[in-house]
Amino acid sequence: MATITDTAKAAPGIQPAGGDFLSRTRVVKSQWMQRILTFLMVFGPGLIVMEADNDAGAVSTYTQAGAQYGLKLMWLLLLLLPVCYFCQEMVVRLGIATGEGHAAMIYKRFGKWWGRFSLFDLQLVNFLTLVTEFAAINLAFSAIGVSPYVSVPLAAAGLVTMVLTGSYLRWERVTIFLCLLDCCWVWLGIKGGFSAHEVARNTLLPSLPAGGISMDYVFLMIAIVGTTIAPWQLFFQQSCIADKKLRFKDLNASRLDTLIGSVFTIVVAGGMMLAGAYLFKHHLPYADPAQMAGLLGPSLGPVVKSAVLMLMVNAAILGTTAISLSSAWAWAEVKGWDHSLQLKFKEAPGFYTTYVLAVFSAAAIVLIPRAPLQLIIIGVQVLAGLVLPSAIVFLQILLNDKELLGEQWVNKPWNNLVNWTIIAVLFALSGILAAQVLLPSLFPAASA
Amino acid sequence: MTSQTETLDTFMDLESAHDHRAGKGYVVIHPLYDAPEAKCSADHLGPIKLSLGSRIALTAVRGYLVAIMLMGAYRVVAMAIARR
Repeated sequence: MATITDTAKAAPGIQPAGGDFLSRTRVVKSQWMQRILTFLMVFGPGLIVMEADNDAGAVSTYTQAGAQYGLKLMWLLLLLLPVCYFCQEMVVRLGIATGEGHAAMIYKRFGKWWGRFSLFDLQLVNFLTLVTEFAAINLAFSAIGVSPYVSVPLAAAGLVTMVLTGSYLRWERVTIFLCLLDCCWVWLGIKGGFSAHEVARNTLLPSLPAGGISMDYVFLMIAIVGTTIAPWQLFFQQSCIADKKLRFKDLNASRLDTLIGSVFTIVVAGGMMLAGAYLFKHHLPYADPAQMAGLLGPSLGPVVKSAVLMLMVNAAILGTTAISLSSAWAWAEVKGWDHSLQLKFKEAPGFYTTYVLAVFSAAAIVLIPRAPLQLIIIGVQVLAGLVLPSAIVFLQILLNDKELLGEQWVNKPWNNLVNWTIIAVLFALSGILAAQVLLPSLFPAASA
Repeated sequence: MTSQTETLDTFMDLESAHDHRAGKGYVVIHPLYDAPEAKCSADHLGPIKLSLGSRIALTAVRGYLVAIMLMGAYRVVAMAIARR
C-alpha cells in the first residue's frame, strides 16, 4: 500500500476563510442536518459532469433518434443510466482517494507513453467537440437572425468570464443553474403530447421499430451510447473533485451527487428524444435541431421554437465550459502548473491560458467561411466513440491498484464484474463503429 | 482536534461556537475551507504492477488501436486508388 503523504499543497492564494452564507462553517444541533448540509456543500461535480454531457452533440443525437424512430430507443436511455453511474462512481472514488486528476494518475502509474497518448487524444477530441459546440451556437442564433460574428464571440467571452473569477464556488453555482435550466427539455417533451403510459412502456420494455433492426438503427444506438458516455467526463469529474478538495468523508455525498446527475441527465435526454419524436408522430422531416425548432413553432407555439433554440445554446455553453476545463486541468496537471478555479489568473496563468486558448480557437474556426463544420461534427462523434474504450480501461485498472489505493478504496469483485462487462460491450460497439466508418463496404445499405 | 480548533476561529455565530465547545453540536465545514487531509500518493511508487487481467486489457487496447490505424490506412489507400 502506498505511503500516505500529506497533500498540504494548498495553492497560493487560497485563504481558509469562512465562506459565504451557503458555504460558511457552522455548528448544527442534529446529525441529519449535518449530513444534509454536507451533501449540499459537496453537491455539484456529479450533476455538472453528467448534465454537461447533454451538449450540442447530444441534442442533435437524441432529437434525431426521436425523429427517426419515435419512442423506440427510450429503453436504451434507461439501460445507460447505471452504466453512466458506475463509470463516474469509479472516478469519484479515485479523485477523493488521490486528490489528483485523471491525467496525472495515468502519467504516474502507466508511464510517459500511455500518459502522452491519453493526453493527446483527450485534447484532440475535446478541441473538435468545442468546435461543434460553437457550431451549434452559430446555428441556433442564426435561426433567430443573429449574425455568427456577434453570437460566437459573445458566447466565447461569456465562457471565459465565468471561469476567470478566481472562485470555484462562483463558477460551480452558475454552471449548476445552467444545468437546471435543462429541465425545460422535459416540459418540451410533455408538449409533444405522448401519454405517460406510452412513454413508460417504451422506456421499460425494449421494442424494435416497424422495419426491424437496420444498420441505421444499430449505428444510431452506438451514437447514443457514445454520446451518453464521453472520455472527457472521466478527466473532468476527477479534476473537479480534486479542485473542490473533497474529503474521504464526502464519498457517500459525492456518490449521491453523481447518482442524481445520472438520473437528471437521462431524464433530460428523454425529453430531447420526446421532442424529436413529435416530428416522427406527425411525419415531419428532420435535418437538425434548429430546423426542428422551426417545425415545432407553428404546431406548438413560438415559445416552443425559442425554447428549443435557447436550450441548444445552453447545452453548447455547458458542454464548452466543462470540456475546456477538462482540457485545461489535464494539461496543467501533467505540466505541473498550479491549476485551480480558486486561483486568480496571475496565480495560475498556464491553466487559465489553456482554457482561454481552447475556447477562442474553437470559436475562431467556426467563423472561418466555408469551414467543414458538418465533417467535424460527424468526425468528432466517431473519434469520441473510438477513444472511449481505452480511457475506461485505464480507469478500471487504476481502481484495482491496491498498491496505490489500499484495500479500502479498490473495486470490490462485483464492481469488477460489472465494469469489465461494460468495457467489453463498449469495445465491441466501438469496433463496429470503426469498421462502419473505415470499411463501409462491409455493411449492406440501410433498409427502408 | 487541531482542525476543529482552527474551525472555531472561523465561526460567525458565537452561540453556535459555544454549543460546539460544550460538545452539543455537529460541525459542518465546506471542503474548500477545511484543513487538508492526507491522500493516497503515487509519487514514490513507480510504474504500476499489472495483474494478468490488466495486461490482457492493455494488450487489447494496443491491438484495437493498431487495428483501427490499419483500417484507416486501408481506407485511405482504397479511396486514393478509386480516384485514379
